[in-house]
Formats: sequence, C-alpha cells, structure tokens
Amino acid sequence: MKLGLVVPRYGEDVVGGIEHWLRLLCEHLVSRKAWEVEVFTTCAVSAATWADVLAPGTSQLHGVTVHRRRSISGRDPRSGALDVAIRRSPSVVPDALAHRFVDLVGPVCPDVIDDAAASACDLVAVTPYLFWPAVHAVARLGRRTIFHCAAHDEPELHFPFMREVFSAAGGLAYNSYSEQALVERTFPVAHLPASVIGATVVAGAGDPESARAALGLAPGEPFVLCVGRVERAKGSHVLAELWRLYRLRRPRAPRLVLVGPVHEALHGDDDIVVVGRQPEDVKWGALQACEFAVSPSAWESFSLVVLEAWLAGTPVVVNRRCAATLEHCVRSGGGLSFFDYADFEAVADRLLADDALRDQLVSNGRAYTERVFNWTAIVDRYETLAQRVLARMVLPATVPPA
Amino acid sequence: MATNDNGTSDSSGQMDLDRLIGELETEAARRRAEPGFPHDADARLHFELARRAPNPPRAAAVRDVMAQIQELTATVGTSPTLESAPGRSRRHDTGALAERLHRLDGQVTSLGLAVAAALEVVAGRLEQLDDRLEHLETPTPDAPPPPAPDQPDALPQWRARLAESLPRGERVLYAQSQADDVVAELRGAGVDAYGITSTGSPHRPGPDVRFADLLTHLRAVEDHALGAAVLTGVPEVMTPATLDPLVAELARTTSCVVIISEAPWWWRRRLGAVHADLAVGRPLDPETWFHAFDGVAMAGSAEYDPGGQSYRAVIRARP
Repeated sequence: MKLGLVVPRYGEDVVGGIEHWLRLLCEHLVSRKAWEVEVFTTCAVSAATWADVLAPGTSQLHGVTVHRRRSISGRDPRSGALDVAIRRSPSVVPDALAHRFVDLVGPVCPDVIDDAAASACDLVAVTPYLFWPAVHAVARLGRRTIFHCAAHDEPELHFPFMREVFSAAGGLAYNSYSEQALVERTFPVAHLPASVIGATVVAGAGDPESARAALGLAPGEPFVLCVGRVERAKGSHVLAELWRLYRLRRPRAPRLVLVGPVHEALHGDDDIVVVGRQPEDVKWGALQACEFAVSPSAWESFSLVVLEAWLAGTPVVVNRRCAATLEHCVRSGGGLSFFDYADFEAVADRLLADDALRDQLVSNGRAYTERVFNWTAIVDRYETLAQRVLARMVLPATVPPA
Repeated sequence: MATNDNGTSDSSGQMDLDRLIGELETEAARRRAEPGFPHDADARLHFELARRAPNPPRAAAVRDVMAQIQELTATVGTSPTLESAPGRSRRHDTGALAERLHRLDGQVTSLGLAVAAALEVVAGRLEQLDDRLEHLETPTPDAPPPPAPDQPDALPQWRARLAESLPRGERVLYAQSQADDVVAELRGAGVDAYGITSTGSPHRPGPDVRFADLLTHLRAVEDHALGAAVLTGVPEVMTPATLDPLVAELARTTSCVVIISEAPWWWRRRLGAVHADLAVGRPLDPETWFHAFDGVAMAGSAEYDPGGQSYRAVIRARP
C-alpha cells in the first residue's frame, strides 16, 4: 500500500493534535505494516501564520517521505474581520465568500495538491477539513481520499460548500463516535466507508517534584492542572474564572496551574498559575503530581491530554459540552464532567476529598486508553478502512473532480 | 469482558458511574438551592461556557420556510390556469393550496414572533448590563462577609418583633405565602391583621400571596385605608418593571411599610445596591427599597441580623 498525506504542516516541531497524531500514524504504518507513505505539505510550522520557515524540497523523517512546498499565502489578518461576519449565519454564507474566507485563513498552496494528485499513491489521507489544503485536496482527489476531517460543530462546518467536500471523500476516519455522529447528521456521508480510528498516546517520563520546581510550586504542594493552549476558545479563561470562584468559596483549595503556550493573555494571581509552554518531562511530571486534570474546552475532536492524564495516573474533569472528551469519560468510566459552576464545585469537592474514587477513575481510564488506543489496534483499524475505501474506488465519485 | 472492534467495554464494573453521576448532580442541585450560592457568578460563567460551546446554526428552518414560499409562489403564480389532476376537483386543489398557505403563515408568524421575543430579551438584557457597567465601582470595603453556610434561618426573630412596629386600631396587611399562623399571632397581639386568600384554599383561611395577587389587591384598596403593610418573602424579588407599580400602590394605601427579607443581601460586592438590584431576579437590598420609596415621599431605616441573612426595613411617609 502506498499512502499519501495532505496536511498543512508536518514535522516534529509541529504542535497540534491532528497533525501530531497523523505523523505518528504514518510512522507506525511504515514500521508495522510496511506501507510506503509520502507527505505533501507546506513549509509552515505555526498555524497562527503559516509562515514558510522550513526548507522546501523532499526529505525523509522516520521512514516517511516528506515533500514540502512554499505557500502562495499564509494566514491573512483580514480573515479575523471576515470571521466575525460569517459566524453569524455560516450556513447561508455564499460560496464565494466562504471560499474567500478559506483563502484568507490559508495556507494557500496549490503545489501541494498538484503533487498529491500526480503521485502514485493508492490513497491520500487529508486533514483537517477547515483549511485550504483539505478543502481543495478532497475536491480534487475525490474517492482516493481518506478524510481525517477532525470536525467540530463550529461555523466552518456549516459552510454550504462543505457538503460537497465531505461528500467527495472516499472514506472518513474519525477521532470519536461523537465526531462521526456530527458529520453524518450534517452531511449525507453515512454510506461511505468510515471508522473511528482515534489516536494513541505513550506515557512519557517525568518527575513530580522536578515538575513542581519547574512550575514554581512549593515541594509537595497540591495543585490542579490544565494542559493545552491558553486561549479563550479552549476554555482556559472560563476555567480560570471557575477556579477563582471555587477558591473564593474554598480558600484552602489548591491552586490551578495552566501549562501550554499562551495565545491569549491570561494573568496569574493567588489562585491561578500560568506557566506557558513546558518541556515534555515537566508536563508528564505535572500530570503525575496534580490532584486532577481539567479539560475545559468544548471544541476537542479527540483530546490527547485526557488520555495522557490517565496514563500518568490522574483523573480528569471535562466540559460536558464537549462531545469528544465526554465520550472518553463515559466509555471508560474514568472521568467526571461539569456543565456549570455548581457541577464543577461538586465534582472538585468530591475529587479532592476522595482518594479511592480518584484511584478508581484512573484505573478505568488507563485500562480504556491502553485497550482502545494502542498502536496495534489502531493500525489494524486503519488498514481495514483503507481496504474498504480501495474496494469502493471503482464506483464513480458523487462529485466530479474540480 | 466483552469488547467491540473499537474496544468499548464495561470497564467501570467496579464502580457504579451512573450512581456517582446521580449523586454529584443531586449535590450540585443542593448547592444551587442553598443560601449564599453565587448565582450571579454562576449565571455569568454559564453564559460564557455556553457561548464558547458548539451551537449549530438554525438557519435551516428559515431556509425551509423560504423554499416553501418560493414553491407556493410558483404554484399561486400559475393558479389561473391551474389544471386539476384527474379524479380531483379544482375546489379540492384550491382547498389544499389554502391549507398549505395557512400552515406556512403559521410557520412564518411563529418564526417572526420567536425572533421578536428573542430580540426583546436580548435588548432588555443589554440595557441592564449597560446600566450595571456604568455603575461599576470598586468593592465596598465595609461589605459584610458572606454568612456561614450553616447559618440558621433568621426570619423567626423578625416575626417575634413584628407587632412592635405596627399600629393598633388600623387594618394591617400581612403579605406572605402560607403565613396564616403569623396573621393569627398578630391578631393575638392586638393588631388588626389580615392576609390575602385569593390563591389559598377556601378551607384554609389565611394569607397566600403572590405578587400579582398583592398588586391586584392593593389596587382595590382605598387611599390610606391601611395602617401598615408588611411584605415578607415572595414580594421582595422584584424587577424594575414590577417594583415601581407596587411601591406606588403601597404609598397610596398606607403610610407605613415593613419589609422583612430573609434573602442574603451581601452579594452586592461590586455594584451599588440599587443598581445591582435592578438586575432581574435579585433579592432586593434595603437601599433599593429606600430608593424606590423616596420617589413617593417615604423614607425609612433598616436593621440587619448579625449573620447577614436577613433584614427588616421600616418605611414611613415623610411628615
């Protein structure tokens, strides 16, 4: 099998859920299934700018061939202004305006699409759905694609032209059942080959006390942890407010520590510690040391951090509005959720006071992670999906190539 | 342990997760109901969480209606030459068309009303928020601390002292739900007290007051017919729209108003009392009552219980 991958950015320096996870998947398909994998991508590392920082050309990374091309344009700041306008009623945005928005968000890189189309790959994986490369790759490559859409119920998903994009794919790889349900109730794609592939994590090394020191905490100090980008869309700021209120009512409660790159300013105080991006060993040490981890985001399509917390021996609390993280908790019995402050307070009180409950939640979550999201199971599921898509390629595409 | 191809299984066999979730939900509900729960902050955070959450657009409903309008327009446009299908009368087709138009009219009307109602709510809320923002101030340094959660109900102490502030020989309205025992006590103390029984059981004499009944009742009372009016409990939760009519009626019917509140009044930490209260659903601070009664030439003072759980305000007509 020869698999292509169209992705806006690729590499070990790329921080981002779906891009990071697909890089690992490609490498495991090479090592475990002896597939040939070629990646068609830009020279970008940052999704905030899509600036070309890596050298164009072909290189090898852990057995995967990587073709990098320069983009015509990256993320245009004017996309922010347009974003405000289209979010009000995305499902009635004219196609021209929606495509203009996608162009402004970028990265616009037709060479990537041309390379993938001209390649000898049997199938081409494409991700994520909302950026220019995916929008154009799926339309161009049609039934050759396995679409890792990484969809959330966000405005872009409701652009009218997305119906054609999703319908054109050869098959769909989902991160969760909730994502599959979302896509299948939004677009007529339930007849296409599809599978919940998910992602996997491998526990990293870390030392709790070293992590405390790196985070500026006192030795042995209990704390609650949130790992991920610090930005409003990820729920960081509302979590900070929840915790400040919690500490107002529970003055002896531990502090909240936020680990992750700060994209939108959030100032620490007596209740909140904002430490920015940290090395992996500090992150894993912090996950081991904390009382519990919180995933406040309502917009996750998978959330590696939830699984990482369980592997590190930490129970998790998730935002009940996030279907993907809630799905992890419900399927595993390893986490609790909140909908408003009263829930949050009740859950936090219980977790901070009940060691046996924490242990049981962790045990459930870890068992679920190791059983469902191990590499053997994942590459097998992926191979099955690829075979189903290949078998169906003889049928004409619903949408002809652009 | 059975698993499917994606590995889902009952991994929580040693823990009844449903029961745990039920317990936590019950616990959360109990906290929401307890005195001192920060409803203000909770509402704000709830709004923020919802605002940052998936919210599928609903424009499809509008598009459906528009599609029907277009379809019917095309049908009506050809109606002069409408050909009846074999076996159906033209009257039948006209009737079916009228029925579809009627249904569509209902949809459009419902949609319009829903939009209008939503806009009205949003506009009202924006006005309130705007008003509150204008009056934001630094936290009051002498703001009393929150009461301890286990503070006992302080209302009985005010009831025990109720008769001392009420006139003898004049009719006194006592307004509180299910408080016929208080009326009986007042009568025993020589106060000519009565309640309002319009919503109570005819077999259970005594007051059973809701705001609408209170206002309706007061509008039927003659000017200066009451020696005093006592408001306890339900009537203290007023909105800007309902507060002024009530105060006007009280000022017309009596020269003495006693207000007993068991709602915590310490929540106003960042706002002046009056402006904080003028948000919907607040238990009113005494200052708000004084502010409102000042407009009808009445003034008074308040006495608080030490725990901050309740207060009694006595408001009288200015000489």
